[in-house]
This record gives sequence, structure tokens and C-alpha cells, in this order.
Amino acid sequence: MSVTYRVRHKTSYEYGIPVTLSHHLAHLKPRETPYQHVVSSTLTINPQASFQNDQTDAFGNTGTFFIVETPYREMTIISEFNAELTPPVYPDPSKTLEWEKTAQMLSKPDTSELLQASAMVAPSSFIPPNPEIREYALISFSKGKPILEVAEEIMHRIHSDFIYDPNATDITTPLEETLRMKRGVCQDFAHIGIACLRQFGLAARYVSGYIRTYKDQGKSADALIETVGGDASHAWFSVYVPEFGWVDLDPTNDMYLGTEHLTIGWGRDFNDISPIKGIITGGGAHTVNVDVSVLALD
Amino acid sequence: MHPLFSYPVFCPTGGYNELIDTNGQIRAHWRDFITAFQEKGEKQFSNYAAQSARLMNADIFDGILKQENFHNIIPFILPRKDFQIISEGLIQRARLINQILCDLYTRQELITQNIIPPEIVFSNPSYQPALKNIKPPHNVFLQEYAADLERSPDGRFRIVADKTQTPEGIGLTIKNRLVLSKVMPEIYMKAAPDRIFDFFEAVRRHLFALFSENRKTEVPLVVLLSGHVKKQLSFEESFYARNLGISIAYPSDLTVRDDHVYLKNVDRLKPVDVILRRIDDISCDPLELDGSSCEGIAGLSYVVRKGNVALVNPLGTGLAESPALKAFFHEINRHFNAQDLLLPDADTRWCGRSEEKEYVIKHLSELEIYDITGQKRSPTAQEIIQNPENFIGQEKINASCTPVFQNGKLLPARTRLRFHLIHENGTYRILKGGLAFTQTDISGFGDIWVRSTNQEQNSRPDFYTKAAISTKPVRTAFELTSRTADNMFWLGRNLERSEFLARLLRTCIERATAGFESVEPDDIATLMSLLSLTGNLPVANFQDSFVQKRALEEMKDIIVSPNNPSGFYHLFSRIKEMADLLHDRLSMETWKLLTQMISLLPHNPSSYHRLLACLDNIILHQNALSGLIRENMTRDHSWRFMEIGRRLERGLQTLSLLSGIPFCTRNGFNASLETLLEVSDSRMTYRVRYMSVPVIPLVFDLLSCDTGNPRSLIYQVLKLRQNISVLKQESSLNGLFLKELSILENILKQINSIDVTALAEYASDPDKKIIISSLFETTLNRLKQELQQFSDTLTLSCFVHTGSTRQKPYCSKEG
Repeated sequence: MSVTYRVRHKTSYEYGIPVTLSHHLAHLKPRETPYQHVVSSTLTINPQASFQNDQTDAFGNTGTFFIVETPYREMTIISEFNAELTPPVYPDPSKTLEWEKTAQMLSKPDTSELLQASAMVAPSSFIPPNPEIREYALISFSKGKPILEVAEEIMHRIHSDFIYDPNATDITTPLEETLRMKRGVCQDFAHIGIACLRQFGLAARYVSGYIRTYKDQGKSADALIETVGGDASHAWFSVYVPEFGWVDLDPTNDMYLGTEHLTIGWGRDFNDISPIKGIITGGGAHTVNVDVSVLALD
Repeated sequence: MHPLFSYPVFCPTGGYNELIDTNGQIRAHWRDFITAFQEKGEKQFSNYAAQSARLMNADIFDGILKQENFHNIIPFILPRKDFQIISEGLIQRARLINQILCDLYTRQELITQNIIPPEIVFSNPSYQPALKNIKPPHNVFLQEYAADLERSPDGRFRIVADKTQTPEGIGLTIKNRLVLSKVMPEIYMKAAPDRIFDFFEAVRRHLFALFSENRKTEVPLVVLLSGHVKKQLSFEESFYARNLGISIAYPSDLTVRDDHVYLKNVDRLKPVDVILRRIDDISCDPLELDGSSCEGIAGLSYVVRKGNVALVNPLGTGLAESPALKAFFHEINRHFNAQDLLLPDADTRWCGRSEEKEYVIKHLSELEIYDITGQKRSPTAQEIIQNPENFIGQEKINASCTPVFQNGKLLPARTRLRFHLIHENGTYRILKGGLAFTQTDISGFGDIWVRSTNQEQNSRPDFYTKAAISTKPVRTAFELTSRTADNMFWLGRNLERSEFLARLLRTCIERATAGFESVEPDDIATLMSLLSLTGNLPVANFQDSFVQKRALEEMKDIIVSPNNPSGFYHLFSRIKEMADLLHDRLSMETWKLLTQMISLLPHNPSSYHRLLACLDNIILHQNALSGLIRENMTRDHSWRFMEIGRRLERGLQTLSLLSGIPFCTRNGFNASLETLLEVSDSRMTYRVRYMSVPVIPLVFDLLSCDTGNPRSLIYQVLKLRQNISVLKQESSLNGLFLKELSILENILKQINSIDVTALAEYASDPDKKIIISSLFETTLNRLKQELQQFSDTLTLSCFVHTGSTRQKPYCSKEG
């Protein structure tokens, strides 16, 4: 049964001194996926951008490039969209290909699908190779284990080993420190999951998006945590399963993607798909406020 | 030893001897040169060396040439047949690299057809997915290319490095050639190397043909994007740019607006069509290519993607420098072209293959080891076994030795050669010369002469005059970049600020350290108050002798401490920084005076006496500088911006001086008018005009409203208006500087409306004193704010190019 959502993501910046000029790249418009249809999507920038244009990046995500030339001390960026989700179909984990064979296939990608996946095996700037991660992941890679069982176990382990703590990490915290503290937020957990899989030659990508929060109903305790975090955009990881494709797993909530996750886009790590990047002239000290609402439309 | 001179027949390193063959004979292509060398003698060559060093250093200003780099006046002489082999080999290699880049940024067939393993590309940080599927200009990735070669003991040349991002060295190559042909013209004529200057014409043609169809201008604007951000001018870059007839831009000169790149000129934004870049891929665009720094031009890759600017080389070419990829060049060439490489490279092995890994481990000590990201590493055998895919081993070549002339004699030196190529008509053209990097106890560089053995070919040598013909475009009325104007403006402000500070400190220290009898008690308090009004001292009760003592210590700190943010060290280093950035705009003498100011500061002075001597020296130096600027600088637009900076700063200082009067009143004493006049250099003017003891209304009038006093506030504002008006007249755009002018008009009106007679009552009636005083303080503060607003508006519209005063070109929107 499909569900339609209305998402509103508002980001406000306040600066100590005026920003005289700024260039931005925003990943706030959702993309089409096999299970997500985008009904409508708008991006409103205040003060008005002197130039604004959408472009598709190498991963197929929509990025909005914009320039603001009016001096300002406050900026708000509001993304609003409606999207319809249908329940994804997943393969039986026990019937998926052994992880060793998957890695073998990815090392010699002879189709364009495999080629795209193999680009997600290599380390990336936020996820460098790391022996500690390898050691942590090792026990999930028993001989001949099907790839999706490996990925699922890693998701379970991250969920039970790590504590959700918005104050433990920031954007500069290296992965091994997150691993040592066993604390972090959705972004850290996604990065850890990806790092574990890539260490063994498997393809994993970082997915950015939103999760239904049940603010009113209080149905899902885990999902509720998201609203506590303040920055309510969400992230998880996706693993490549041969003969099937990509399967999304959310280690923060210990679940496969159903009809509660809305996808903005994906990349090798956070850096490829960060919601808003900017290079500003002036500005001084600044504060950011993020407000997200994910509403299921009946 | 060779019988003719003390040069070894066998190189101490065991490498190939470029000069002498194994039979002890001088090689044929060297004979003319060596004959000339022997005729002239070592003494004459020492003179040549000294002369060439002087010529080199005249232009090379603290750039890539430093003490540790030495200029070898003995060229590396290359016989034509060797050059032919190199030439064919490098052209083949350039085409191959171009094919590789085309494939890896589009279909990646090399990966899907299993020619190269995926991690070689995807694990490499120089591979940027953001640059995938961007069509390079004319569909050519490798537009310019340079390769480093070494000759191995068997006499064959081997490629040891590919420069595919920013192949530097051409500027130095030209300079080298010019200097040698000038210093030893007879030898140069006799040895007759092939001409190199037609190459620059080819580069020029190439660059100017690259502009996009979406361009906005008739004549394409081509710039060299310098990599020397915040550093001094690079000789290499400026010389190359000058010879190509294009201007140099720093990242801060360029800005992305709408979907184009613009050069920030003072009066407008000029669309840029072609960028010859000297900046690595990842530093080009902080928004898309690198999350960690703010350098580069935000949004550049967006414009590139739109095809609205051509980059040479295009973004992403750094990938071809990866050692891991090099290990596969042979196979790739066979795959694409069914050919072997004509020119072998240094043997490179990727450890991801087991037989290669075993070889590397076995020969670990003889090899250069890189990791997959291209970093040099020194791993243990164990580390390689654990993670073989991460390592690459490369053969070290025992490079040949060529003669260098060092300390008055010829010595053999290990040599590496650099050759340059440029894309032309579907293939590549090679520069018939280049740089020979040599290594003795110091590293040096020299020219490469390609020698024809047959005399039939027309090889008229290049002469100095030949290249001196400048292709530099004529400077139109407003060819001034925002960066230059900005730096000039701040140079002017900082100069004026330092001059004022020096005078103020001198007067104050003089009074404070003189005997009691000769000093009026309020003099010192007034002077210290002024220093606190200019932000150099914290506000305090300066009549207190203890406070005065402490203030005196703080003043010492301003002069001697490198850490004082409002001190001389800080000011003078800012001035030096500006002067270095403006080096091409200043005469040698002016630049020297500006950059030497910091050396005038005492390190650890023991007495106030010595401090005063130092301040005298600074003021003398500043006077010399002012004279030079006044007498020797062309009154062009850049000068006007310096003048605007000076006048603005002086205006603000005069306001601080005037504020001294109400400030002292508020603190319960009378400002010493004598010292006010002295510090503002107006004592003589006052005496000539009034022949009496200074009184407040007249002093106030002289310093604020007297148009005949070059130190008065109104004089500065009039000068500002004059300079802005000239700029406005000469700029092509309507509406420019209107806002600035209206602010100045407003300031003038306010100054003229100041009622000086009201101040007459000031002295007479102590009750009114406070009221009038605070009234004047308000006026002065308002004027200060307005001057500040003038500065901000100018900054936004001329330097940053935002705000409401500026219209963008080709944009119908109202600004």
C-alpha cells in the first residue's frame, strides 16, 4: 500500500556580521527511486538568490546551485515536497550471493550496473580505510555467508553496540573515534556500516533523506529519537546485492527501508550529498537552525 | 680525467656521461660548445655566470629561485636524433593520456573491459566523480603536458614523471634562453640551438581558439590563474603570462555570477572565456571539489559543466599523474592503439598482481614506493603483503650526468629533463628545448639546447630582442582589477595610519620623558587621550601619573612588540604584504622602501632615547616614501585608490584629533591645543594665520573647515571627491560611484554647517562647556560614521562587487 508524504525542511542561518556574497550547493530535492515517486518539489531561498539552477550529479542526484548577492545577516532555505512511497521488495537474505563472490564480481565489473557499484567499494574522504573498523566488522564476515545476511548483521550490531548521542560527535569527528566511543548520530552509524562493508570489498553507499517521526502518535520509540536530535534530516546506508540491486538498511532504527523513509539522494559518503554547502564572504560567527516536518497525507 | 680539462670520463654515480663517451672522446654534439668554452676560459665563464645570475635575479623576485637554486650556464646539449626519439615518444604518450582521461571520465571502458582494476581509479582522490561526463573544450582533456625524463646508463631516455595538471616551467625556460643568448651571444650563435619561441605562438593560438560559443564578448578574455595565492608573485607565472600576452588572475580576482566566471574589475565584472590554470584540480572549486578549504573559485565546476569557460588543463587531469595508473600504460596503449610505447617509462608495478608484488618485495630497497593515492611511502614487506592493492613500486633510474659550471669549474651533475607539449590540430607540438634540472651539492637548472648536426636547416637563433617584443595588450582606461585596487586602497590607509601613529608616539614620548619644567601638565594627558581615541591605548584617566607611566610602557610595546595587534610590526607587515602583492605596480625603490619598514623596528630597546631615534628614523623613511609616491608614481587608477585610502585614513585621524577636545573636557581637563596642532603638523599654518596663542574655535576651524590647510578634514573630503569624480568620469558605466559621491557631498555639507563661533562661548562659560562639548562630539561621531560608510560602500561596489550600487553586465535587472 502506498503512502504519500509532505515534507518541509527549513534551515535558517544567522550571522554576526553581514554576508556580502555567497555560493551554495544544496541537495534538498528528492530523486525518483524504484519505490519513490516525487509528486512536487520546491526550494525557496530568502533573501532571493540572484541565480539558481538545478543540476544532476554523477550519482543522479539533484543538486541546486545558487548565488546570493544581496548582503544579508539571515538566510532561510525552505524545501517542500510531496512524494509517494510504495513498499520495497527485498530478496530473501539467505538466498543472496556469498559475500566473497560478491566482492569478486565487484573487482571485475563488466556491466554498467556493476561498474557503478564498484565505485562504491573504494574508500572516500569521510570513510578512509581503517584497521580498527576491519577488526570490528570481521566477525560478521564468516565464510560463505550471503551478502545480505552480512549487511543485516552489521546493521543489527551497530544498532545494539552504539548509543544515539547528538553531543558525542560533530562533522569533523573521525570514524575510528566514533567507533571507540560507540556513540554518534545517524550519519555516523551510516558511515560505520559503509566502512565495515567496504573493508571487505563490498559496495555500500550513503543515503540522505528523512524518516517519518510519529511526533503525535508516539508509535516508534526509536524513530522518536530523531526529533530529539534537532537536525532532523536522516541518513542510512545501502548495500549492493548482485542479481537484485541496492538494499537500504537503517542502522539507527534497525530496520530495512519500508514506507517510512524518504530519499533525497546518495553518494560515497556525507560529503557527496550534504544538504547545504556554502562558501560565504563575510558573516563572522553564525548559528544554524533546522526544522523538519514529515507528514503522511491520508 | 679527461686530458683537456678536469672533467671525469666516468661519472662518479656510474650514470651515463652526457659529455664524454667511453673512449674518452667529447661527444660530437658538444664539440662546438666545449671548443668555445676552452677558448674563453674558465675565468670568462665565471664572468658569464655572475652576469647571468644578476640577470636572473633582476626578474626573479623571491620567486621559485632562491639561494638554494643555482642557474647552470652550461646548457644541456641534445643531439637531434635523441630529440626526435623523445619527441615521438612524448607525442604518443600525450595522445595516450588524453585517451585514458576521455575514457575514465565517461564510459570507463578500461574498467569494464578489465584492462585496469577499478580501485586504481576509484580509490584515487584525484578521481572526482563531480567531473564525470563534462565535455572538455574541443573534446581534448590533455591540452598542455610536460614530462620529466632521465637517461639511464644504457643511453636510453626514460619517463620518470608526467605533469598533467599544471605543467610548470615554461616561463623559466624562456628566461633561461634569453639570459644565455644575452650573456654569451658568440657561443650561442656558434652552437645554434633550435628556436623555441614559435611554441609560445602556438600556445597563444591554442588558448585563444578555446573560447566557448556561449561567450559574451567579441575578443575572448584569457587569464592565467595563479597558484601563488597570498604569496609573492611567481616569476614563472608572470613571465609566461607576459610572453603569452595574457594577464594573471588570482582566485580572489575571479567570481562566479549566474553561469559564467567573471574577472572582478574595479568598474565592472568582465566575463572570462579561457583559464590557463596553475592550481591543482581539488583546489579549484571549494564548493564541489574539496570540502576542506575555502581556496579556489566557488562554483567554477558548475560553469565548466555548462561549457561557459574553458580550463587548460580541464579539471580532472590530475588523475593521469597517479603512479598506479602508470603501471598499466603499456596494456592500455595496446588496448586502445595496438602499439607499444615508443619511449619507456621508469618500470612501474602495481602490487595488486601477485607476481608484481613479489618483485617489489624482493627489490624493496631499490624502488620508489607509492601508495594508491600517489603519496611516497616506505612500507615494510609485511605491510605490502597485508594490503598489496595499496602499493606501487617504481624503478629508480640512475640518471645521466651533464656538466654544470659551479665554483669556477665544470662538474658532473645528475640530470632530469623537462619537456613541454601543447595540443595542436589533433596531435601535439613539442617545445624544442626545456629545463635541465641538475643535482650537485645544490639543485640547479639550465637550458636544453637541441643541436642540429647538419647545417642545412634554417636555425636562426633566438635573440633577446626577439622575445622582448611584447604582446601585452594595451591597457584600456579601466583595466584595473578589484584586487589591485583593494590592495592599493589598504596600502594607502596603512601607510597613513603608520605615519600618524609614528608622529603621535614621537611627540608623546618626547614630552613624557622630558624634564618637568619644559612640559605643560595637560600636554601628556592630551596626547595619551589621542592615542586612546585612535584605538592604540585603553581609555583611562591620563592625568594620573601612575596611569601615564603604564601608558608609556604600552607605547613601548606598540613600537617593539611583534604581537601587538595595533603595533608597528603588525602595520608594517601588512604594508609589506600589500607591497609584495603589488610588486608589478610599484617601482623597485618604492617597493624596497615599503618592504624594508619592518627592519627599522628595534628588537629590544633599552631606553626611550633609542625609541625616539627609531621613531625619527621611521618618520624620515616615511617622508622619503611619500616623496617617491608623489613624484614617481603615474596618476593612474591604481594610484587613485591608494590616494583614496590615504585621504580617508587622514580624514578619520583628523576626526580623532578633533574629538580630543570634547574628550578631554569630559575627563575634566583642557586639551592642549599646542600638541593638537603639532601632531597634525599644522602649528606653522596656525602661527602664520593667527599670530597668537591657540584658541579652541580657531584650532577647530583650521583642522576641520579650512580648505587651505592640507591637514584639515574638509581638505581630505575634497580630495576624496576629486579622485572619485575622475574615476567616475573615466569609467564606462553610468551610475558608478554615484552613491559614494552623494555620501561625500553630504559630509561636505555637514562640515560647512559647523558653527565655529558657538565654540567661542566654550572657553568663556564653564556651564555651557559640557553641553557644547557633547554637541560637537555628536557631530564628530556622525562624520566618522559617514566616512566609514563611504569606505564600506566603495568596498562593496568596487572590490566585492555586490550591494546595490553595482549593475551586473549583460543583465537587464535593475541593481
